[in-house]
Amino acid sequence: MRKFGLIQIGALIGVLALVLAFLYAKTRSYDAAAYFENEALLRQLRQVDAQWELDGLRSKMGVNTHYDPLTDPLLTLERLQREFDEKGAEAGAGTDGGASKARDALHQTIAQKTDLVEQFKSHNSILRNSLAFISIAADDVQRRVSDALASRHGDSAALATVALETNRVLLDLLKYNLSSADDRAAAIRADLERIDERGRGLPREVAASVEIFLAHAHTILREHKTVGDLLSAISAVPAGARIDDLSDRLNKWQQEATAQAQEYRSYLLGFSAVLIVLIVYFAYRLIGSYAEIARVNDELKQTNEGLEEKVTARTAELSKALDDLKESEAQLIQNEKMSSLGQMVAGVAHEINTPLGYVKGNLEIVDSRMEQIEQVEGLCSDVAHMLSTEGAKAADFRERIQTVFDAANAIRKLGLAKELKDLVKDGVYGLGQIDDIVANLRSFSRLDRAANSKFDLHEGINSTLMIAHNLLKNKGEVRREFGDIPRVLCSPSQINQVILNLVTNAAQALDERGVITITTARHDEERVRIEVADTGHGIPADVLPKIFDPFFTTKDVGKGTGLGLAIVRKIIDQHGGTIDVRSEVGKGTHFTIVLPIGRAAVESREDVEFLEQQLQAA
Amino acid sequence: MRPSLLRGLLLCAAFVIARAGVAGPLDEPIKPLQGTPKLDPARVEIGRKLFHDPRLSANGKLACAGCHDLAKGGVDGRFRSVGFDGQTVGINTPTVLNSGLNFKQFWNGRAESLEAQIEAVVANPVEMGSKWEDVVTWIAKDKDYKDAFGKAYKDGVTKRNIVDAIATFERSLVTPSRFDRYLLGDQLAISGEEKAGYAKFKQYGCIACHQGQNIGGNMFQTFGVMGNYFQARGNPTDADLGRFGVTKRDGDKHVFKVPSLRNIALTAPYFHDGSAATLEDAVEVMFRYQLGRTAPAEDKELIVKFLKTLTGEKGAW
Amino acid sequence: MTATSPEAETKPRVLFLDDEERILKTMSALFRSKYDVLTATEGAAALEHLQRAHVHAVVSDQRMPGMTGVDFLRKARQLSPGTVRMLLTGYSDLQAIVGSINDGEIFRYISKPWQNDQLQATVAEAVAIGVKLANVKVAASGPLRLNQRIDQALLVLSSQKELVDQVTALADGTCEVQRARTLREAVVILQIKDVGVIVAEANAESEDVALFLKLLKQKYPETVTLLVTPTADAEGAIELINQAQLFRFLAPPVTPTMLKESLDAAISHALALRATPVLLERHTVQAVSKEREAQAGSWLLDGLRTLRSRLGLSAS
Repeated sequence: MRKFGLIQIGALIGVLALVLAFLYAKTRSYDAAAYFENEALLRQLRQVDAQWELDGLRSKMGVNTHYDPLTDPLLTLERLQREFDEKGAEAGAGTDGGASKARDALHQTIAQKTDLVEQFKSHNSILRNSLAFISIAADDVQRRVSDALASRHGDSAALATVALETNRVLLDLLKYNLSSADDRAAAIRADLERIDERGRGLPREVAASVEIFLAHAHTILREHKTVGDLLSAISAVPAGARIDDLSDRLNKWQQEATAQAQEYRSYLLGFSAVLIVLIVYFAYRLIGSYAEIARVNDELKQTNEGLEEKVTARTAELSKALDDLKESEAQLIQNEKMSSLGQMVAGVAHEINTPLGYVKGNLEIVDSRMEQIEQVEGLCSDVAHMLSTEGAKAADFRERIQTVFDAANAIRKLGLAKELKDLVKDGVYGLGQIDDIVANLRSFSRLDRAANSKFDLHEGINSTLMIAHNLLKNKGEVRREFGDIPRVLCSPSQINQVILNLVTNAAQALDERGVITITTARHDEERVRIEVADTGHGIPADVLPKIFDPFFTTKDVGKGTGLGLAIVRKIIDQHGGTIDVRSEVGKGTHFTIVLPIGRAAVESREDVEFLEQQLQAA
Repeated sequence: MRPSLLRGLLLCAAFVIARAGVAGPLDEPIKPLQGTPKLDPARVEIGRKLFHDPRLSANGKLACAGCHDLAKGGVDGRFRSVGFDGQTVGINTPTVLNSGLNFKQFWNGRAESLEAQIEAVVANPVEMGSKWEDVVTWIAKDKDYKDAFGKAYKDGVTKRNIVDAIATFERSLVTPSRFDRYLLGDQLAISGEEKAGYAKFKQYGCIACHQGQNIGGNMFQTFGVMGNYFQARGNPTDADLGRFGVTKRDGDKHVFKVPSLRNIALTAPYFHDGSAATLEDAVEVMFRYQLGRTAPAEDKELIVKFLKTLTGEKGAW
Repeated sequence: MTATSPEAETKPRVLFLDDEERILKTMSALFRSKYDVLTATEGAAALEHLQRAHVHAVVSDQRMPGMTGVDFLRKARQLSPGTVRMLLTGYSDLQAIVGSINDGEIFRYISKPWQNDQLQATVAEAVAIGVKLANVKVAASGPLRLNQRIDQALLVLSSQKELVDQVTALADGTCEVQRARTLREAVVILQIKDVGVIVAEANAESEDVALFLKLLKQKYPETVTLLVTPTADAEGAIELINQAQLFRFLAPPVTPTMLKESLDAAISHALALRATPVLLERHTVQAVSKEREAQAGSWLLDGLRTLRSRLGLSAS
């Protein structure tokens, strides 16, 4: 599986979710219910509007006796419009400017219509009242005229004319009211003028009634036109058209929205299908990887168990290896000790064998020479015997003594006595040598004393030099410059080992005859100083820092283990001392050891550990 | 044909046409009130309290009920009401009773609804002189109101809800009268004279404008159709311009909302200028300037009698 | 240095070299009656003796300051190849022993302390040989002259092919190279061929190559033997000197140069031995102890015994 980071997966899921949400939102954005609601609203509007107009006509006709039917729709229209606006905005039909313009247009037309209707109401009621009254007013005129005629008030002819004309105008008015031809109105107005004129000269009551009649007649003319115009205007108001317009828009929008919704629905379906496929795919992979995980888990468990066994085994191996290593290290040290010891022993063996050789040889010579002396002794006793026995002939006697003399002479000539004395003396001396060497060996190894003791360093140095005598003789001079130093608490055998090592190295460094100087001195209150210097070939500067490193040696392969100075350093460290070296190629080398007087060497299991460390570091 | 007969026929036709659709007892141009409308009692109660709460005014001295005293027929009976700080208003106070049935509020119809009227009055510098933010604040602080609003309205104390509460209360102030009972079929609800008065009312054409459920209140009309009232009265004021103040059209000068005649017996003085002290005076003015007719005194008396039947029966509000 | 007595002219000269004077005193005491005893405490002085007059035998210590015994013996060999050389030393450093074989070509190796009579016998033997050789022109063995060829075969006794290849390459036509993987094979070849040089490779699990060499040298001193051995011990090496007169002791690493030098020396020595049979005296060996001899298989003993007659050589 390609590796998806957590962030990437999250992002992918986010994107998919967004797309899904988007598509869904798009399908939902078209709210069919809203459409139907809006459509219903518009239908209602249309209805109310139509009814309204109808009611207007009815009111004109007098079918509606009050104006509540013309007034109530106002609230409804207002409410419907408001609802439509709200719903329209919700449903998104108002997203384009055209739709809002259409709505505004609708508002406008309805407002316009409302205004016209208000005016109509006002004017219509006036008209109707006047219409209702005009006959009565005309009647009233007639009555007044007849009353006047009866009581002979005023000009009867004029009275009669007025009455006649009033009636005629009345008829005209009524006719006019039914037809509303404008030319008629003008004619009636002319008539009214005439009546007005005539009325002036008439008795007061008649004139008053005529005045009233005229007022209403004019009102009718005026209001009739106004009402007619208003009604035309009202019907001309294209509220219906606006509503239809809106309806069309709504329909169109609805169709578009439906189509779009369908589209998005199909997208959604497609997308969902894709998602399902993806989910199935991933589920499949998941199951697969789960199975794999389970399998791997099992394997792991098994491996784990196996591993533990292996670990245990390995640990055991390693433990053993470590032990072996420690053994080898111990062995190495031992070997070093042995090899240096071996060198020493070889030397010592030679040192002992040589005197041993001549002591033995001398004694054997003495032994062999004894014969001659025994012979003389024998001859002497013969002579003595002869002397003691009777009948010894002088000639025999002389002969005998002569032989004694001869024998003695022979011995004397040989220088036997001296020789033998010399040989014996040498022999004794040789034995002394051997004695010394053995004593030195003992002194060197210090097996007869405790590990840590107050040790006379000079004694140690001397015995060490004796041991190394063979190496040193004829290599050069050994100078001792011993200072006044107290006994030092230390491990004598170890210190001797150190001295031997340094002295051996010094001797080996001397190519021709040179000088090895051993100096001791009181370093300070608590310490003493031992210096071993040689005039040998020196150590080069690049080699000097390494000489104390274990296994570092400048000797050829097989000669020297390289551990000598390392062990020297270790011993000095354990004693709490320090060892330094100065060297100059061609001039010589100078080792300085400083040892504390009071401190004993540390129990040295650490030899091995020290070397372990070194081995690890190597 | 004889002219008189023709005239008579035409008259009849005209009459018939004019009076087409003559309603029986139940189908008059005046529509009866059908009991109280369905309103949320909690909101009505809040509205009632607010209506009577002088703290709606800036100085806490004047409540709605101060000018629209329910005990006095929804008016204060004054020629001109006095605002919160003693200023007199410019026009006679119309009644609050049945005001929910008016198609618009104020004499010049400048408020489209009760709510608009309430909003305008509270903020009017002469009448209540308040700021709505302050009103909302103190109402919200009042624990009782807060609780009540919280219970009655989803969003608690808001300007809209305050206005709605008062309007709801006002809508509850419908006053069915004896005449309504008569319209609903109770022939004994009004006397014969009162019936005659109603007939006259119709005959003379008062019904042309004072019609519908609220006996008016559903149309505008020029004050002085048949005669120049203002010229006769003199001292024109801005209030006299009526609807012109709203539409700025010449044709709307002196055009006013036709007031409701319900409880008319209680709401003297009459007309927008409070110029008519009695019903008789008002009827007189109407005859002369609106109807342009004369009528015998008995007819006018009968009409007045009829008008008195339009008072809401006790206990209605 | 001891002054020579009048009788010294007729007595054989024996030179003793040791840095310990007392040893020299002992030696003179022991040998002055029979021989003209010359002594020196340092190699240079000893070499001077050798130059001055013919010395029949020389006995040297190993551990001396300045020139070691082996050094001296090498020089002595070159200076006076007819002088029989012996090493008498209290210190058995293997390196010295090997050196004494390879460089010193010594006759005997004697340890300190010694038995006087044994020492006297050995010296007597050496002197006798030295007297015989005194009149013979002995060339020190050295590098092969060009195109020198020996008729005798060169036997390589080795279980590994490497040595054979090396030797074959180095022998390069100077002689025939035979290969034996086992001792038995070697014995067989010996009976067929006249072998001049044997290069034997000792290996741990084997066959007692040392014993074979010792016994062989007893019967067949003409053979010059070289031993290639991974392990070495001082005792064994000393025995190989005294009982086998091993010509060269090659401890690894055996460089081609080393091998070549050794082979050259061996071949020329073999030639010399064949040319001058008296030289064979020089390689007289001490007898192997009975017990040791018993360890040899009968086939070996028989095979070796009949060797000379088979090859038509004179009885040794």
